[in-house]
Order: sequence, then structure tokens, then C-alpha cells
Amino acid sequence: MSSTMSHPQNQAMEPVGIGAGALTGHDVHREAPKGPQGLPPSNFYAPFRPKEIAGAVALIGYLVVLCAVWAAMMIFGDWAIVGLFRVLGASLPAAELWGNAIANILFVVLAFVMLLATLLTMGERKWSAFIQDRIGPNRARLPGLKNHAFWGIPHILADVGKMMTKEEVVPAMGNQTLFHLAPAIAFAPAVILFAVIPLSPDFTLWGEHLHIGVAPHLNQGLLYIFAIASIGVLGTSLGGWASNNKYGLLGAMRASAQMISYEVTLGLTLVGLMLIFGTLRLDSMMSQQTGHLFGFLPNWGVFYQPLAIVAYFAAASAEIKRAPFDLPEGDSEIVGYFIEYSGLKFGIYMIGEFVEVVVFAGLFTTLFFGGYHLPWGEGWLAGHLGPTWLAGLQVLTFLAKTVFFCWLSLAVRWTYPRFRYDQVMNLGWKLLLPASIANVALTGVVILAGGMHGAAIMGIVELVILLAWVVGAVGVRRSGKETLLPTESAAASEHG
Amino acid sequence: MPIDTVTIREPDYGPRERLYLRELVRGLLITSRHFFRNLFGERDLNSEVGERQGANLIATVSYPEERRAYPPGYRGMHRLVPREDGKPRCVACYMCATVCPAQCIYIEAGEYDQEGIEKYPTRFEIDELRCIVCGFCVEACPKDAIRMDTGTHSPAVLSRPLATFDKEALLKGPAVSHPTDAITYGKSRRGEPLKH
Amino acid sequence: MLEQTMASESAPAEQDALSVEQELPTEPMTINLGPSHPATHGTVRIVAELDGEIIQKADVEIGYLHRGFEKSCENATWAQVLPYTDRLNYVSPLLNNVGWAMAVEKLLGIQDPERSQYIRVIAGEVSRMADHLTMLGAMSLELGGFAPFLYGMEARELLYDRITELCGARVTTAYTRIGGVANDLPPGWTDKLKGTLVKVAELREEMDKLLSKNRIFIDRTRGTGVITREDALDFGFTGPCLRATGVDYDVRKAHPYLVYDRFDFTVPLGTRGDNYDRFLLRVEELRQSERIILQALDQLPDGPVIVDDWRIALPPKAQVYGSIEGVMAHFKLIMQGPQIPPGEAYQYTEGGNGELGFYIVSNGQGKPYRVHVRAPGFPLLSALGHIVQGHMLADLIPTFDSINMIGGEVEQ
Ligand code: SF4
Ligand code: SF4
Repeated sequence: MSSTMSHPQNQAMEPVGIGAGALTGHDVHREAPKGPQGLPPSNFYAPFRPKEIAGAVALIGYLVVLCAVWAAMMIFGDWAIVGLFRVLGASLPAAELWGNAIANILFVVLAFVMLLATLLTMGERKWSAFIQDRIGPNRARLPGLKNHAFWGIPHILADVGKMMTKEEVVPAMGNQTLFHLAPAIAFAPAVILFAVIPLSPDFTLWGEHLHIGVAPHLNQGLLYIFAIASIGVLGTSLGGWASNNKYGLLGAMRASAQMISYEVTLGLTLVGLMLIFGTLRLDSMMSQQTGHLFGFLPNWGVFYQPLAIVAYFAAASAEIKRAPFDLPEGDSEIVGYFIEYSGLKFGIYMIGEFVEVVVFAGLFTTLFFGGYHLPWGEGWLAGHLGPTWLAGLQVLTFLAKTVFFCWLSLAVRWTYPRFRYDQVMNLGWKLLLPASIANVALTGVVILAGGMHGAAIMGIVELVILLAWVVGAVGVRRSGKETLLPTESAAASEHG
Repeated sequence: MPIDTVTIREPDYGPRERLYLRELVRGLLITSRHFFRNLFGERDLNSEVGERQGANLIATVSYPEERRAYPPGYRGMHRLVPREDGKPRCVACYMCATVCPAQCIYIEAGEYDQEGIEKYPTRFEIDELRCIVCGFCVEACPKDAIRMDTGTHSPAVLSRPLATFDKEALLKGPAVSHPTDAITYGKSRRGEPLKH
Repeated sequence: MLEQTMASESAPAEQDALSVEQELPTEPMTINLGPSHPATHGTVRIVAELDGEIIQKADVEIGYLHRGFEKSCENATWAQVLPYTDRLNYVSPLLNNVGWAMAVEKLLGIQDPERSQYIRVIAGEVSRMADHLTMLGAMSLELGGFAPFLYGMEARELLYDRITELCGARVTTAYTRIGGVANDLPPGWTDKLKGTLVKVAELREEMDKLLSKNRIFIDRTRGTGVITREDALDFGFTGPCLRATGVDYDVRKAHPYLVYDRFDFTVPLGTRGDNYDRFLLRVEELRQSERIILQALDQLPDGPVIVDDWRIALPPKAQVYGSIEGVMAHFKLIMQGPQIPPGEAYQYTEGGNGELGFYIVSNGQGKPYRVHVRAPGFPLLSALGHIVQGHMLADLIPTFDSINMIGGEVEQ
């Protein structure tokens, strides 16, 4: 058969004859060369070229500039709104109180959280694509700018357009009220959670006392977080139940069981931190995470509570239903609690999930990774730049850390398979919960015995053990041929 | 005969694996290696995906800007092979229509008055929607008159009748002649050159 | 669902919790997985009765992909049946092609040339690798691990590229012929294949590393979807799913066909017959297939790739274009198809998922009188309900994947 076919490219160049070569009929390829013995080398471990490293540096620089613009916007926007209140005749304390609050609602909750969450929708698709050797979305273009894909960001606009114009199907036999209400119940707590997270210390800009963060001075900051976070489960389970769909119901059941179970762990993992910092206020936790341990380690929560970090990461992932804990969605099994949702309501569930990721990353940063604090050189910078500029830099630091933990959360999501329902429960109740209780007890004892210093030593010992574990994980054989090597066939057992 | 078998040895599964963390970090390292290579590596656009070089591991061929050439021998869209004078080589022998498992070739034969070859198709239609692209018609043709070497696939159409390609649409591509053809093509029945 | 809710409301409040639980009328929830469901690649419907998340009963319903393969074959010549077989197991069509050609050859009592046998082995093993990679990827995908899935797909596509170069199509290969194969290996193909195998091996090891020691994956697969050796034999399991239970039945070894007896490869066996074993076993079979291909490429002899018998195989084109004998033989073969003597034959080969058997009956009139395919997927699928009974809904998915049912061959 091949004898009667010719290469498409030949065809364009010259008339293809079934010439002399082809007249041998079936044996046309008889002279096919036998390949050299041994296999060709692979490019799998090809190193980066200088050009690519330059590209990496440029990209990071670009991101830093973007974040700087963002941070500047928050700071100056804050200042401008306080100024506006002054112009309108408010006294300075009143203007600062109201101006800060309104500016932060605008800039932190709407601009920062929502913008980051929106970008994450694309980030998830793009990053997962890179993890999976794909390019990711790059087709939507901005009008007039047809030659650049802008890393897929125009797809966000296209998505929004799609979500808003899609038909909304409402299951006739479902509970209509709850069905409409559920996405809002799921979405709202996610957004307002961010209120207590401080993005910068208090600073003074041109005579006005400012801070970035809606209500970082709240006394019961951590309790607020637990309280609000537990509302989220209502949105999910009501949404699944109200759609009158069996899959939705299964998803809702899984969601409520999982989220309620993990709330306990989530709370207990942070008790250790409360003991160490002696406060529930996030801003005072922040101000305690300055300075250095033993002169060089940043004085961050991670060095006091490494075990809690692991447990918290797992519990928080379960709480926001991200993989590997995404079984309420379980797309290949039960499709998810939002199976009946379409249009913008579905979009709200989706964006709510990303808002949760941002909030989770922000909390993680705040509690364990020093929040807005730079790891080193803060004192030096404060001396040279002044506290105001330093505050700007600190907002930037917070952004960078948050984005990194968003990335980590997504990378985890795209790497691991998901748990089974009962395994999640086992993990939560039998492993994470006892571990976090043990952690609380241990921390308490150590603090009683050795104070903060003792806690730091305990944390670092824990961390070293953990790291040894991880390094052990990295160092093992790269070939991975562990089940059976071809040469082992000689030792194969014989069966009849 | 004893069979050479071996029981698969399972990977070690000790307390380290049981505590999740180690394998999770290992997995994360694999995926983030892909991530950073693909993020920063320069993409090689070689359409032969397996032979791409460089750090970037992205395997996408971004159609339609990048296209993979169909390999030689790819069974694509049919064509009726023309003679040197532009008429189809086909002699309406019905072999292709007979062998076609999908019965998607329809031929009506006519007669040339003057040529040494008497039969030719007045209608020759292939329903590309029915076609299962087996290539049997190409193999069956005793005149090398039908080929699937166009290097394209049958195009998408807006309605089903449009997927039936007639003789005019199929007759395309470079002309082909064989040494055995010279006796008859372009000659009258008595072997005299034809006047066009 | 609604009944449950109402029942719990109407339960008398004064009763203690235990008796409420005893008297609470519950009834199993029936859910339809499929025919259109994210996990049913291939169209199949599973009607599952759930008690909470436990499957009490799972009925597998097929018929959504039925195409009348066996009846169609009775209306085609022996040669024309070949492209139909592509559509049986559409993930590894070359193995079906080989199976069909060998069945007809058995009835004819001929052997294809040695080079053709080697090419069949190579093409078949490449197909088997594609099949296994697809299954491994799909299993990982449906457990939520998307990255391993796409690594597997990437490897599979690389193999499909080689198949395209060999046969002219990715999936609708129609490559073998009665008495040989359609065309010889394209120039330079063997080198390309070797390069591809390296790449595939790397991707395979990455998949393996991402999954096989991951506790989440192990928890999801180990001990789920278990079938005992006896049950597996009773249901008629073959292939990887049977070998995962520890039965050493591989047609390539037990009844060597083609030139399989010339290669050094081992048959991996499992012990527990669960999803994890089926996964590891296929990873190992990928390695063995690679070994077979490399050995076959080294041993590949020269020679014709199809028998030189004009009653069975088409004459060379030179003869058809240039000689009256050639064109007459060609004409007769096309018009009537190869004439197969009356009789019946059962030829079995090792398909992607087990023993792929073609039972054919000829009455000597140019067309099959009866064709039956022993599709390896059918017994596997019919045991699904038995395997998952009493397990969780979430276990159904990896089990469904690891038995690797292919709609096309289950429903012919
Ligand atoms: S390729 Fe096959 S199905 Fe298509 S027209 Fe030719 S013989 Fe018929
Ligand atoms: S087999 Fe060839 S010559 Fe005969 S009808 Fe078909 S295309 Fe024409």
C-alpha cells in the first residue's frame, strides 16, 4: 500500500511517479536502514541555557515591578482617602479611622483579594499546564492587541463574559431559595476572612497614620477566623442539598463531614501559636515575628511550630476543599456539590474557591512566615529608608509570600491524587488531630519550662528532623526502577 | 513449558511512606521541575515532538500556527490522479468501489470515443463521511488512479451532502505516468497520436 | 433522599438514639454512573445502589456502543473485515489487526514471512505500550492526579506518532494483511522508535515515581477492587487482571505465537489481585514490552513482508500495472476476496487486556460465515459489579479504570 503513496511534500515539488523504486511492490522499504545499537541520548536532563536564566530573571523582575505598583496603589490610595475625609471636614482621628477602613475595604478586599483570586483562576490553568507539559490557555486576545496572548489573562474576561451570559438552570424540584442563596453563603465568608490580616505595620505618610488591612487590630483575630471559616461549610452543603441531585447530595455530605472534622484540627494547630505569642491579635503576632533567633534565623512562626505547619497546611487544604482533599468535588466520581449550578452562580463557587486559596495563603504567611516582615535587614532598611518606605517594602513582601503560597497550594493540587472519603476522616481524626493535640501539649510544657527560647529550640529540633526526612526523600535513587529490573529475570521463579 | 515469571516486587512502603510527607515532597519536586523548566525554558518548535531539544518539556504542537507534517504514507484525503493530459487515470473498473468496506465510492462509467482506453468515469464520488480511511481503495486500484497522498485530511463541512466529493473535486495533484501507460494514453485505438 | 429526610423528621423524639437508628426506615439510593459520566471512558452505564457511600449492588449495563461487528463481518470479504477490527480495542488496534490476520491464516494453514512476524511483534508491542500507558494515565486521572495522566498521554502520543508513520493512521491502522503486513517499516523508523522508547521510559518512570509510593495513591488502590484468583478464573479473566491475582497465564508465553518464543522477557505476576497490583503490573509490562521491542529490532531479519501467493495477497504493483497475469490475479482477489477453505478456527493472542480470541467459521464462499470475538474486556467488565460490591463509591472509579474496559471490544 505504501508503494502507492508519496510524501506530501514531494508532491508539491515534482510529479510523484510510482517509479522504479515503487515497482518492487511490497518491498519498497526493504532497504530500510537498521539503526545503530544502543539508544540515542535523551534531552531529559538538559541544563538551562544562559538565555533562559536571563528570561527567568527578567520575569521575576517584572513581577516585582507589578507588585510594587500594586503596593504603591494601596498605600497612596489609603492616604488619598484619608485625605479626602480631611478635606470633607473630618477631624484627623475620625478621618484616619474611617478613611483607613474604607480604603482598605476597597484596596485590600476588592483590589487585592479579588484581583489575586481572579488572576489565580488563570494562574491555576497556566501553572497546571506548565506542570503537565502543556502551554495552557493562550487563545483569547484583547481587542487591538492580537499579537500577544498576555499569558492568558484575556481568558479571564472571556470567562466572565461566558459565566454572565450563560443560561442559569435552576432545578425545578430543588429548594429554590437555598439554591439561590448558597453560592453567596459560600462566597461571603471567604472574602471577609481577609479582614483581620495585616498587610503592613502602622506607618505615617505625610502626617497621616495609616495601615493596610481592614481590621488587623481586632482583639480576637484568630477566633474571628475560626468563626467565619466555619460558615463556609453551609454554602457548600446547602448548595448540594438544595439542587435535589443525588450527586450534589453526596458532594454536600462529603463537604460537610470533611469541613466540620477539619475545623477541629485547624483550630488546634494554631493553639500552639497562641501559646507562643500569647495573643489572638494578628497584628501583635506580626510585631512579635521581627528580629532574629540565634542571631540569624528570622523570628518566624515556622521555627517555633514546624509540626503545626504541616498539620495546618493539610487541615487548611481540607477546609478549602483543595486537592488532595477535593473529594466534595471529586470530579471523576460524583462531579461535585455544584453539579446543578451554571452561569454566574457556578462562577461564584469557583472564584470563591480561589478567594479561599488567597486567604489561606495570606493566613499561612501571617501566622507562620512572618507576614509582611522581610527575613533579614529590616533594621538596616528602617534606618536608611525610614519607616514609611519600609512599610511599602513590607506590603510588597507580603504580596510575594502570599503569591508563593498560592503557587504551592496549586502545585500540590496538580500533583497528588485525591483521598477517599473514609481516608480523609482517618487522616483528620486519627493522625492530624492527635498530632496537633500532642503539639499543643508539647508546646505548653516547653513554654512552661523554657519560655520562648525553649520553644524556639524545640521548633528547630522538630524542623531539623522534618528536613532530614525530606532530604532523605530527595536523595533516593533517581532511576526509580524499583519493581523489577530486566536483569533480574534470571532470578525469576518458575511456575508450571 | 515453564513460564518465565516473576512476582512484582512492591516498592518499599515503610513508616516513611506512611507518613505522607516524604513522597509528597518527592512528587512536588517532580512536578515543580516540570513547572520551572517549562516556565523558563525556551520552547523548541520542532514539529517532531519526540526530538525536541532544550530544557523546555512542553509537548504541545500549537495548531494551527504550528503543524505537524503528516508522515509519508499517511492516509489522508483521497485524490483522483490525473494523467499528463489532465484527464483522470481512472478507467472505471469499479475495483475500488468493490473493495471499499464502507461502500462509499460511487462510480458511473462512460466511454471515450477515440482513445485506446475506452472507459472512464463520468461520475466518481466519494462520501468522505462514510469513508473509514482504510486505504483499501488505493491498494485495489490497478491503474494507480486513486491515492490518499494529499497530505491533508478530509475537510470539515457544514452539511452532509458537502462531504461527498465528486470527480472534479477529487481530480487534483500532480499527474502520474507509468512506463506501462505510454502504449495507450494519448493514442487512438489504432495507436495513432490523437489531435487535440 | 427526600424520603429519608422526612422519615427522620417524623421519627418519635422520645425514643433513644439507638432505637431511632434501628427503626429509621432508610432505603438505598440508586445512582446512574453513565452512560455519560466523567469516569466512564467508553460508554457504559453503571447503576449503583448506595447505602451512604457503600455500594450495595452495581449493575453494569452495556449496549451504548454496539455496532454489530459480528454481523457486519458476515457481509464483508475476509480482507474487508480487517478495518473493522481496528474499532474493537481502539487503544491498541494493531493487536486486533494481528489477531484477525492470524486467525484467517490459521484457517488457511499458512504462515506469514519471518520479517512480517517480527514487524507484527514490534507493532503489537508498541500498541500494547500505548494501551497500558492510557490505562495508567486514566487511572491516575480519575484518582485526581492530573500530571501523571498527561505524562502518560504524552508518551502514548509519541508512540502513536510512530504508529502513524508505520501504518498511515493513528488509530485506524488497518495494518496487517492476510499473509503479512501492508508495508515494510519506513526508512529510519527503527531509530526513531528507539528514541521514542527512551522518552517513553522517562515519562513512565516519572509516572511511576509520582504514584507508586505515594501513600494517597496506595491507600486508594491497595486492597480495593480485589478479586480472588478463583473468582478471576471463574469470570474468565485473562491478561493483566488475571496475572495480578497471581495466575501465570500469558498467551505470549503459554502458547507462543509469531516469534515470541525467541525473546527474553518475563511475565510479571501480582499477588493480591487489587488495583495496586494491576497498576504495578502494567508498569512492569511496559518495561517488558520495551525489552521485547528492542530485541525484535535487533533480530529483525530481511525478506518479504507478505506471502508471495497471489490467491491470498495482492500481487506486487509492478505485476498489476505491467502484466496480464498480475492484473487478473489482482482483479480476482479484489472482486472475490481471498478464498478461505471451509472450516473453523480459533486463534488467540495476547491483547492489551488479555486473551483476544477470534473464532471464525468459513463455509468456503468468500465471506466469513460466523465471526466471534472473545473480547478480553467483557469478562472483566462483567465482574465489575462483583468486585465493587460492598466497597465505597470512590473505589468503583479506580477499579473501573484498572480493569481497563474498552467499550469498542466489549460491545462489538
Ligand atoms: S479509504 Fe477505505 S473506506 Fe475510504 S474510500 Fe477507500 S476503501 Fe473506501
Ligand atoms: S480502482 Fe482505480 S481505475 Fe478502478 S474505478 Fe477505482 S479509481 Fe478507477
